[in-house]
Amino acid sequence: MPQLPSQKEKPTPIGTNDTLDIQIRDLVFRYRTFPIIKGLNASFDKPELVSIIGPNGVGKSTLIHCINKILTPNDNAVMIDGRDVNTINVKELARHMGYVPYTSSNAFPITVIDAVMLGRHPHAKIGSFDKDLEISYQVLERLGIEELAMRHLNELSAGQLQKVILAKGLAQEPKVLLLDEPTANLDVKHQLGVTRLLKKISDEKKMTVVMICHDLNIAAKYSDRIIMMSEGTVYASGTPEEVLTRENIRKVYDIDCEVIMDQGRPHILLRDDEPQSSDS
Amino acid sequence: MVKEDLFREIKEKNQLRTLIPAIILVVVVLIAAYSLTILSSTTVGFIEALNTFIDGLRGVQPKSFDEYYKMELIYRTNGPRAIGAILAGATLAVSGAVLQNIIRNPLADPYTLGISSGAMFGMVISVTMGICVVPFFADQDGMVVNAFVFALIPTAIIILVSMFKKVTPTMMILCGIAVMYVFNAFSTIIKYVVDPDTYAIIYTWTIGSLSGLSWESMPKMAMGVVLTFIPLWLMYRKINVVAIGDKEATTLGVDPNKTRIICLICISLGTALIVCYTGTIGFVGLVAPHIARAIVKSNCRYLIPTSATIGALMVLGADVLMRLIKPSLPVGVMLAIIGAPVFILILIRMKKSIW
Repeated sequence: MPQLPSQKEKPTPIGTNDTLDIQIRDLVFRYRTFPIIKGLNASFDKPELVSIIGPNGVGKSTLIHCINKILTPNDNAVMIDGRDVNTINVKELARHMGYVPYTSSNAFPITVIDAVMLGRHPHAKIGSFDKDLEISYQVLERLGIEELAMRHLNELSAGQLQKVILAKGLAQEPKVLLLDEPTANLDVKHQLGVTRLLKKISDEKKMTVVMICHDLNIAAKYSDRIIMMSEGTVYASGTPEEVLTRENIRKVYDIDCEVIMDQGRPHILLRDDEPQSSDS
Repeated sequence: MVKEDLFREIKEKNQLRTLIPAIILVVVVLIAAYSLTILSSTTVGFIEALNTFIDGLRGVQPKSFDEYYKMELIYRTNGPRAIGAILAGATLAVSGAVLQNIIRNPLADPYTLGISSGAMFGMVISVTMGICVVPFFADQDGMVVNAFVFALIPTAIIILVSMFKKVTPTMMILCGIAVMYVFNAFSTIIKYVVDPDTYAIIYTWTIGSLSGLSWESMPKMAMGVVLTFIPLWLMYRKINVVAIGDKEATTLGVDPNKTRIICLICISLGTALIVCYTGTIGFVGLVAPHIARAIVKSNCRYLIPTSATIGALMVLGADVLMRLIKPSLPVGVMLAIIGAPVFILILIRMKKSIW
């Protein structure tokens, strides 16, 4: 039944439930005329760790940027709690959705604790300093970098800096956390540690964690769900076991591999063969 | 480090960072009071000068010629000069600090976006041709009004462009430079043909001078501080967030473009109000924020007040020094001569390389 246009109704606030309901329907995004995302459907509506995988340039980061308003998607493609993301202002969204970029730079000297406390901005008000400091410190402690608190950002290693950026996202205490390759600069131990922590936080705090990940084995080990992207659409979506099959990986990445099961999770062994071109 | 120790350290540091601008402000007031006693032809005691100044403020009429003479020099000449120096330094330094943060470029100063060249062009056409863009103003007033109006044009162009297109910080700088070249070219044409006396006036103005400030201009110059310091300090959280990058600012709930435009409007109005009276005092808008950063780091909550007081200290200090040594030079010269080596010394002596 067609609905009459409502008269200046105040939009329903988002984030009233414990989790944010993100529905993506027929998302299309172009940089100028070059299409990156071509009719993508996905949903993130429960606390879980979702990994987005796929080769370079398929639109993984673009997808994330369309969800958190860094880019402007087509109308009614990204719905958050039933509202088009384009109608939600950045301030309202920031209280419920956090973002951890691949890297971050600051033109000016700033200490780690000050940087992490910037993550509290959406919740900050006059007199909230003590609470913000407490939360920021707890996050640093959780990531095991509390001894860096008074250091300057530009004195840190790439791995330490990445953890600080992650800490800023966690200090925001969002319902949904979007991460762009959160483990790219970390060594093996810290890759495992950080991903395990993300999984734990998503369970404990009932947080939806969506991360772009290039390490298929890390994604397989901890993800509840994997979204495999190819050429601007979702190629496959489901549990690690369903998505990470030899055929899918060959089709999407154009490489040969072997998938074995390890502790109930798929494990990918890369084969060093010349790629058998998929279009032949 | 234990948590309690860390929290105590952070809080102590923040208290110190709040205290620093207050301490500098006291020093500034003391220097300002001292500057009242600098007279070219006669000597006067500190207390006497202060008394005369307070009498002037209260509107006490001088009884003898001697008193009248002192009132004229201390209250009408030195007073506005000291206060003007403080207001100019504070406005330029705050503008520089905020502009550096919002366009994330340590080389930015209040003139980066073309404010100085616009103001100069307005001033030049007023001095040489007697043209004023606002009717019914002439001579000195016409020059001030012209400088003010033309100083706002570069920012107006940037804001106009931003209505049609997303303007990145780099585009803002390039846009400012382009406008600067156009205005400078026109100014140069005029300067090329004017007589030497007019050229000297223009030249002094481009270096920035505090002589000739009067009480009438003080409320407007004070508006410069009010327009920059108060709104920008209230926005310190947003400015901090914009400084880390547009993407991250967006996801932390701050619209970077909107914040930048609001800051730009405050900065250009404030700077224009100062520049149209003093000319383009250089250096302080670039360097005072960096000295402040070396002391209190880049959190704008502390950076803005510290920059303001350091800027005031620099301009006032340079003016006082210059009047003691060679009174006829414009303040901009002394700022560069003393300020630049001091700044380089600070860069060398800094414990950590933080840039």
